[in-house]
Amino acid sequence: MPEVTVNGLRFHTQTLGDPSDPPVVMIHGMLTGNAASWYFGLAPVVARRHGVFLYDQRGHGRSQRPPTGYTLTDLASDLDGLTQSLRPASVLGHSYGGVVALRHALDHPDRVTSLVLVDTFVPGSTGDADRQHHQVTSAAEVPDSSWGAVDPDGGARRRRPTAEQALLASTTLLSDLRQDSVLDPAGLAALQVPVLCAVGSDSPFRGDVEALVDLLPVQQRRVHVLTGGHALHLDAPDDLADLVTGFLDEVETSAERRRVALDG
Amino acid sequence: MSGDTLQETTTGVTTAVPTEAEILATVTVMIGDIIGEEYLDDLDVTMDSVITSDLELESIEFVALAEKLRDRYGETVDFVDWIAGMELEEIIVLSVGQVVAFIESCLR
Repeated sequence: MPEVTVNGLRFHTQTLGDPSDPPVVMIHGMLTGNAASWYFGLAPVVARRHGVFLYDQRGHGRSQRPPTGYTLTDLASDLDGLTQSLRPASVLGHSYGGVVALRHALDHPDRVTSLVLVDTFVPGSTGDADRQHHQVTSAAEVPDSSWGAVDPDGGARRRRPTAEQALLASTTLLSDLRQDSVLDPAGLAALQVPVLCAVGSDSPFRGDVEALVDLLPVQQRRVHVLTGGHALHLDAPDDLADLVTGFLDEVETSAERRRVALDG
Repeated sequence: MSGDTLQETTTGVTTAVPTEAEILATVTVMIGDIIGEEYLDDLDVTMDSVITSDLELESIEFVALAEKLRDRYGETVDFVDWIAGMELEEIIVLSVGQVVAFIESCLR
């Protein structure tokens, strides 16, 4: 299994497609997500014309699971370390993976060519602390790591704990995310790269997703509502793939036109 | 039955096409490597075992299985492409027997 050590932790990584094509980094959501969220779906489609880089975030999938260190700063630092050798890339994230992508774009604007946010919202950005806690934990109901094989008895029958059970039981992930999930609104308003926002029509977080969209610059953002819930990569895989590949084509074509104009 | 049929793998090694029982044995070992031998001891891996529920493989462990199958059988067995073409509802009920049959059809 491909592994890279960053920030003292072992990360499981995967690359798909031709690495000489424009790079795309895909970041899964927290708790139930992992590299498989993309590996059997969006990644191979995008990899037809892009070099796709995937990884399991710390504590998830086959990456190392430290007991602490799950703040947005930690997660963005992992992304930074893991993508050091890549050219400037399009960065795509589902749910909180999109928050990590945004933070990366704010910290390293020269490394990001465009952003794709799939039903991304900042937990706790609206409402009180109880609602915030509910938002983070209810994201765990997305049947991603277990692929929907949810037991009626809440998984008690399982011999092995699921990834999210292990994360909740043995790490500070939830409290860390609650402490540090902040994106600078002035920075968001000044983003200089195109941002595609895919919103789930039936997402329980729709209001929060749209609140984040409102903070993005009008001239950079493209907002599309797809039929589905929070896990659009599972609910609307074909629509999402069409939307993302169309957006990447558009961004790369206009970047190419700018290069030609500058050269000419 | 087709044990004497020779074929060229992507690694250039000429091997006999394995039988269904041999493929099942190989897949069972792979699943044991992924979930851990201590859990495998409690399980009876049969052609009817459902991978997500009976064997409790999580989605990320399908990635591990894909790697093991590629290492063992080469690019001829494109497990990723096969899974990518399925609806979630199909993956959830995928049995070991379906995987074995898929491998066999790729190698034949």
